[in-house]
Amino acid sequence: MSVGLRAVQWNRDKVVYDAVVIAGVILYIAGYLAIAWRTEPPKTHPDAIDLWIRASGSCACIMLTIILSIGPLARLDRRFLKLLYNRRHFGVLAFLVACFHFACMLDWYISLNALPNLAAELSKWGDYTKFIGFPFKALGLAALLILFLLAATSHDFWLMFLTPRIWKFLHMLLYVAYGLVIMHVALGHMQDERSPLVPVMLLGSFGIVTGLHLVAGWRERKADRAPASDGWLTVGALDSIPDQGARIVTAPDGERIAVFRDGNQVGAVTNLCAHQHGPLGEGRIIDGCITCPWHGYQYRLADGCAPPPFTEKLVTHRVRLEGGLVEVDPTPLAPGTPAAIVVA
Amino acid sequence: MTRTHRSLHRIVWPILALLVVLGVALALWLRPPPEHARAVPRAVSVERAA
Repeated sequence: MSVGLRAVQWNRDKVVYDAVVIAGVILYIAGYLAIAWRTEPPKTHPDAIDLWIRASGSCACIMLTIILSIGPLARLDRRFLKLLYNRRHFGVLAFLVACFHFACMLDWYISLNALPNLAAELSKWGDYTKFIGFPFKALGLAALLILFLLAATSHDFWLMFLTPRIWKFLHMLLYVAYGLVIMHVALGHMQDERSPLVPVMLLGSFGIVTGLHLVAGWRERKADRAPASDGWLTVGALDSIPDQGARIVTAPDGERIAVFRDGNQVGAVTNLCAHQHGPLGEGRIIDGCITCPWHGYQYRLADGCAPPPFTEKLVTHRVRLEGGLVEVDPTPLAPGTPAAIVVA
Repeated sequence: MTRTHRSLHRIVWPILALLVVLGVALALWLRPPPEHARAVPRAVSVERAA
């Protein structure tokens, strides 16, 4: 299957989202510089650049903390889904702020006529065996390279080319990058700066992100337990499925099935959106189509096909009504197979 | 998310948390005393590398 390149589809929500994030970045950096300049005015040009390094570095770190919190927050509370919608642009902006941090660091060396020393610092191989004294800039560079890789493959072209499964595995590298950034600060700035604020903020932000991921994962674990069954799975009474909404059941293989009801029509599709594997069962039926809560991708309930001109298709499942209970066959049908039923 | 992704999340985060908390705790524990840090400003470390 060939994958065509389509430009980013802009809409008002994306523009507002990006504008808010960019404004937040400018306000943070301006605020940081204003406060730092007032409390301890820089005496030399390198001192002034050092403030820019700290402002941009802490900004990128905060942005990564927020980006990594959005996923579990959206899983725990639907109100955070709005933040998930354009998270990729947020991520690309975090990469650009990290690049600016890197550029400021280069400028600091240039202002001291000491640029070759950076290479010397990074190639002192003996220091890599130390813990205190480890070339912490190498950790930052490794994180920057990961962020570059993720920003470069953030477009939907790469999502389709690599398939959502591989793309998501690749983008889980962000967790590694975050760990590297925390250690970059712990072995760098935290060694010079004696204020307890640095370790408190560092461990606090990491604690929040980790805690959210662990809580969200723990809650999902219960839903992953498949009921013992060797055939059709019971979903429940027809009324137990919210109208224009869904109930999610877990198949014996652990994958989830979303059983939707639209009036008297009942249909079951995989819980994985074809776009980014978003949880379809947490979405609604809008304009007669199953609508993914993440990015609004739509599919017909009858056959799991996206309405023309779109071409995405979902795996469907057979459903039936037995003794007043809706049941679903966990065996998947080929994507786009009509399987919904109309109940009296 | 697929089941594999969910399982991976549940494995990755506790490991990452353990490594990072251990790393930060060690970095705090082993960092040189303030007198030493003040005696070796950043500019000097640049000169030394030259």
